[in-house]
Amino acid sequence: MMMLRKRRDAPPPSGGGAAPAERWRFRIYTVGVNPAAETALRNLRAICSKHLELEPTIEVVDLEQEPELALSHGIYAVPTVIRHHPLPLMKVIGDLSDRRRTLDGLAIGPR
Amino acid sequence: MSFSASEPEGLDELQRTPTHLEGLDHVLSGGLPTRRTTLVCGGPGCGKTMLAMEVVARGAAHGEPGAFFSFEQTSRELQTDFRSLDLDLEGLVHRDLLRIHHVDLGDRPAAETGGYSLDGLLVQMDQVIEAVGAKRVALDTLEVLFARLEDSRTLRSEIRRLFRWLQDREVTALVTAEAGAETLTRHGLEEYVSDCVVRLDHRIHDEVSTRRARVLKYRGTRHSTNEHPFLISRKGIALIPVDSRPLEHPAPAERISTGIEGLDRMFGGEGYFRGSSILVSGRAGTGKSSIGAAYVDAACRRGERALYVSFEESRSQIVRNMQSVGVDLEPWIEEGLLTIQARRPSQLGLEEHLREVEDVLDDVSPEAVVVDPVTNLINVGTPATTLAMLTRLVDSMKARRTTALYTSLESGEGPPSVMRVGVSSVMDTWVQLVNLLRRPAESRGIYVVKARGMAHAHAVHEFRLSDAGVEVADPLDTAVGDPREGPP
Repeated sequence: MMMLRKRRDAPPPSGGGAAPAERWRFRIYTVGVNPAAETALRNLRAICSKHLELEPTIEVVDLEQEPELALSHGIYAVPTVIRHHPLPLMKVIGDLSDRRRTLDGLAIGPR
Repeated sequence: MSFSASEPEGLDELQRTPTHLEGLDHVLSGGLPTRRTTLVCGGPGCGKTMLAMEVVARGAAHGEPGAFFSFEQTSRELQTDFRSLDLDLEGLVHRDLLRIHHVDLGDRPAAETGGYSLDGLLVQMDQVIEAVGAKRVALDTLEVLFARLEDSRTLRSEIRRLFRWLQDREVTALVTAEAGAETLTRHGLEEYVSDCVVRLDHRIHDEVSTRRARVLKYRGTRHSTNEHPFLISRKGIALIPVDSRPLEHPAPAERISTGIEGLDRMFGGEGYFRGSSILVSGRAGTGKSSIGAAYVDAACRRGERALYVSFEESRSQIVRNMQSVGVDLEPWIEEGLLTIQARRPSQLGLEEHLREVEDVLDDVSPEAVVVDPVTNLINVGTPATTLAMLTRLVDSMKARRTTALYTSLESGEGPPSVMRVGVSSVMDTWVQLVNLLRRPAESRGIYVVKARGMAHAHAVHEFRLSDAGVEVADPLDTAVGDPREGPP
């Protein structure tokens, strides 16, 4: 099983001289080792690689390590996936196993 | 460990946490089950939030820290709502005895796909509980989660886990829930709580709002299964146990004048017992209010504070009427010894009336009180409710060592209306006024139906009202029969 740690996915090497695409940012909130959060991370990556030009920045926040963020960010269910950029904030609860709902919930797609 | 005959097995094993709410601890045989979860359910506006907040805040005020988790109102809203109550939430928060935490679930349901857990909520709760070392915890209202999360199967198993978590944390918890149409709670939370369930109810009957509380389940404990009326006053929730009158009032020994020499004589020459309750009944125009006025007049002469609550006439009418029978109340009002409160019973529900009366009692701290006529209160509610509420009023007066005189307006045939609600049983002294038919007009009679703990006259005495004053003269030989037409 893949272990989750707080980390940032390295941005891929920048492409050629085309119009600069926006790099999307997501945060996945989890508490400790959580298979559903791992599934959510895999699903989010897969969906983004298909629908977004650039690989997104995905931050995994372990509330066991940073409990105060549960209060300040108002997280009650885990995993909770929040799209930070571009705004507005979009939120989906669960392991993102339903592709259609994930696309709608996080409004992922060409703008 | 031994069990007394009256207590079932297991009772001693269950520790109780006093709610510090008047009456509720009595009904719960001492309090909520310690380190267990109690469910408080009822319809909108039934007082769930207030009960939960009071239990947590009163515990905190008694040195047991508490945490209140609100799923709907923000902590600011709650503090504003409770400002009128003397709970001092801000002070408790400031002294680190209380935390009020708003669990913000957002304005609308989040999109949801696949499994989830409520671990985020537990992380939030853990920190808040840790921050003050909370021993009492309230969750109000957990079921809002059902409106935010659509996978209710997952939610149910997570709520079950949450209840286990609370038990592992060894907190005494209160969880509120909306009443359901066919089930006790809308989302069947009673399924998860096996220790204690309290149901609150707010009914409007004949435009009178009545609140009731009932303990439906209390594992391992004998408890009262009756419905108990409760009031919400400035001091918070006050529950009236209907199946017991646990208040042990010190038996008064001091006697005080009735304000009428002849009436004092009927009570062995000494008058009423201080701190007792006196019922003066009679039909319209028999002079009930005059007995009340003479009594407050005498109290003020002794330099005592007096309160006259009228449900019939305005303050100026009372003063004018009493001047016509030689009792001048005006100077006492001017001296600040006498407070006259005129109320119209239809304006408010019974409980609001009682709350107002209690508030005035708090403000004035009178030694003498007249409620005239108490029957106007009685006619507001259903008999059972009214008796409970009046019992509470009488108990409250006694607890304050206030000597209270209640007049009762009788009408038509049959037993006096107070009899119908059994109020006379809670009265120490009962004086009946009658019109004497075979006598000249304006002839009245007075006699003592009962007077607990004292020798008293049994004959009907003549009772005269004139501009010279209120007077009780010699006994008459007129037989009037037993006016009670039933047991007192």
